[in-house]
Amino acid sequence: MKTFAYKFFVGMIVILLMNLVQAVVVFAGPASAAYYGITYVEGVHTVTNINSQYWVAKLWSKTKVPVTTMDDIGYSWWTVRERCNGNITKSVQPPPHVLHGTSLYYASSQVAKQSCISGDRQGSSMANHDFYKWPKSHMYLYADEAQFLP
Amino acid sequence: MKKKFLPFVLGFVLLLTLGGIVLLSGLNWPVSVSASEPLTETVMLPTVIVPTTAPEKVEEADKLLQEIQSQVEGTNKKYLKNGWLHVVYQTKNSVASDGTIGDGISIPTEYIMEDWYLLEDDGATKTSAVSFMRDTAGNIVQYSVLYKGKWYNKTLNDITDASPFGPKIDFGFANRAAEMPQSINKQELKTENLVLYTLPIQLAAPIQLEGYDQPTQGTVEKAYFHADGSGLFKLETYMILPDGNQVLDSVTTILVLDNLETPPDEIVKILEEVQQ
Repeated sequence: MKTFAYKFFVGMIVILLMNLVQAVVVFAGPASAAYYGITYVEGVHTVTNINSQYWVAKLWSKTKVPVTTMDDIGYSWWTVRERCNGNITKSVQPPPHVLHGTSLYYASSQVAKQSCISGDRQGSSMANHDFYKWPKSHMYLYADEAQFLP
Repeated sequence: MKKKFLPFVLGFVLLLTLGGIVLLSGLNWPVSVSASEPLTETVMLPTVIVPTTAPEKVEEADKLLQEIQSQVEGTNKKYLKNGWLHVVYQTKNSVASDGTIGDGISIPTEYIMEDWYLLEDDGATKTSAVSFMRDTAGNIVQYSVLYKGKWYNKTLNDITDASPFGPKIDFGFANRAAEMPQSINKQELKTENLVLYTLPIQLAAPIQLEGYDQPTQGTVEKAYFHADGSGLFKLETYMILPDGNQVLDSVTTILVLDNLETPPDEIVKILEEVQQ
């Protein structure tokens, strides 16, 4: 018969493995990362139809856990595109931008829809999100989003 | 029997808690997020001003809408049926796209789209398609192929999802007119043998569009239909500036519209290459 200590030890190993797996699952993904053990940062995009004429791409650079004031927070490049039948019909690149001394960055880009006879129109937003807090280095995090637009 | 598993259960619960605390504290992360800091920003989308209509004008607005819908339905019946829909249209924009889209390719402000769609279900769905974007000299800027629900951009070598629905050969103008029939105006252009329907869409507050110098207060769409009922000829979009002036933003002209039993060999070859 196995001792209590042996069973306790096996239980510990199992739980530690489960915690490690949980950590990998939660923090995996292209739009989030740990910033040098200081905070957990995230890049978020949305693509939304405004009306029959316009749509809007929105971008957030966030510090989440804990919410932390950064020296720089924003994006190093941002591309907003519209496609018709897979072909790019519109591409705009708002200039690089960061805010200083804040924990959250937000920007939006409103786009006039292009003619697309098939109605197979897709809007996309992609960026390298920029995070910096002295004395650590800049971290660039890629995130994107695409949606059909009526 | 129950006693046998007690150490495992105790160990499991204890270590689940300890493991979580150790991992999070090691990374310097608290378990909860501060509620005082906003994580999202609410942005109000611009609203459209819906003009009030006198009761005697409602009947007139409905009549104009029915005219537009009748024009579009007639064209749909002729071209949106099983077979290969061939559409060529030219678009001229007032504002250029930024930069390049890959390998030195830039989107011209004026381009010609040539689309071939294999339509099924009486034209309601497209199962295969080839779509070219050319410059006005006829050079291919980029082209894409629809295969099994995906668009394969063969110029940029990327893949995007496709919608299953068939084309709208009025560019959706009838649907937009149906949203605001009280705004439609009609003008007969007898010398050009065209009928012009104008649809202004006024926003409650101006918005700044990407790439434009001035904010826009809305748009005016001008749809030119053939007077003989053979469908849409040209679609113009004007931006309404905050001072009320209108500037031409884009013009799209349909150059070719047809439905054929078989596509040209070039199209068949492109489709076969993607299927292999």
